[in-house]
Amino acid sequence: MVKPGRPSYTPDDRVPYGTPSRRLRPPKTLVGPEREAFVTLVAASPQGQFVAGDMDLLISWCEATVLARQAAGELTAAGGPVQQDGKTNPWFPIWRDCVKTLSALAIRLRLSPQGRNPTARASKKTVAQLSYYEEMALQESADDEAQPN
Amino acid sequence: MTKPSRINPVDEEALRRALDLERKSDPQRAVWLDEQVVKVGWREAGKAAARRQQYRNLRLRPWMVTPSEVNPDSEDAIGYEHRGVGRAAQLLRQLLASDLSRFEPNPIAALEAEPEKENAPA
Repeated sequence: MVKPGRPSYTPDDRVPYGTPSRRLRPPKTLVGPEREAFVTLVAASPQGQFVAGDMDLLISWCEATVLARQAAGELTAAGGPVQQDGKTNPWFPIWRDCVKTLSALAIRLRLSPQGRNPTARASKKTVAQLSYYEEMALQESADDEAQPN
Repeated sequence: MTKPSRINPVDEEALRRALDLERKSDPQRAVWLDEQVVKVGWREAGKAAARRQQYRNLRLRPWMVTPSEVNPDSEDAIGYEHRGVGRAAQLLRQLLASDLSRFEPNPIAALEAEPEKENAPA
């Protein structure tokens, strides 16, 4: 049933006019799919969630994400974790370790539902979709150092 | 009487496509566009349609400019970087380098489709 009346206002983390974005940019050393994973994660998270001090954890997250995807792809290509001779595919422990690492980092970086909302108080704030220009800015490195945009 | 300046066929195709897309997106907008075509001509109406399509597809904020509104060598004015003039020019240079129009309604999709077009059989 449709609720009567106007829906209540839900704020998002849109950057106000003329204010620079506070999102982290990937370092120059991060390239390829790891860099894409970084930009995707930062763009999908509320601004201000990550600070320069989180950079090492974030990079580890991106590397683990890409390696987990690669291992999962290899396992699929091989037809599953068990080989024809009955032995375990060597990619299986790699995939498992990556998922464990991601699971641990997700709590530290507050990425999982539990990490995002450790208390019962749910924030009504949503993440605003970035404009394409803001995504272009995120793709650029910040002089090898983690600098807010 | 002045002769209307000729328009690049690539731009013409993009403007007509933008008009079509914009007409289909909203019936009220279609009426407004038809009025504009009569008042200012199809080219100006097409430019307005392309601008709005680019705003939507690039998810731009109201104060940002689209690639159709800048020159390839435009730069951000100091203190006005939030308007995205430099980014728009960067995107425009990519479009022009790929032989696409500055009025392309969806610049990102067009740029992504470009390598496929090159590989496609003639």
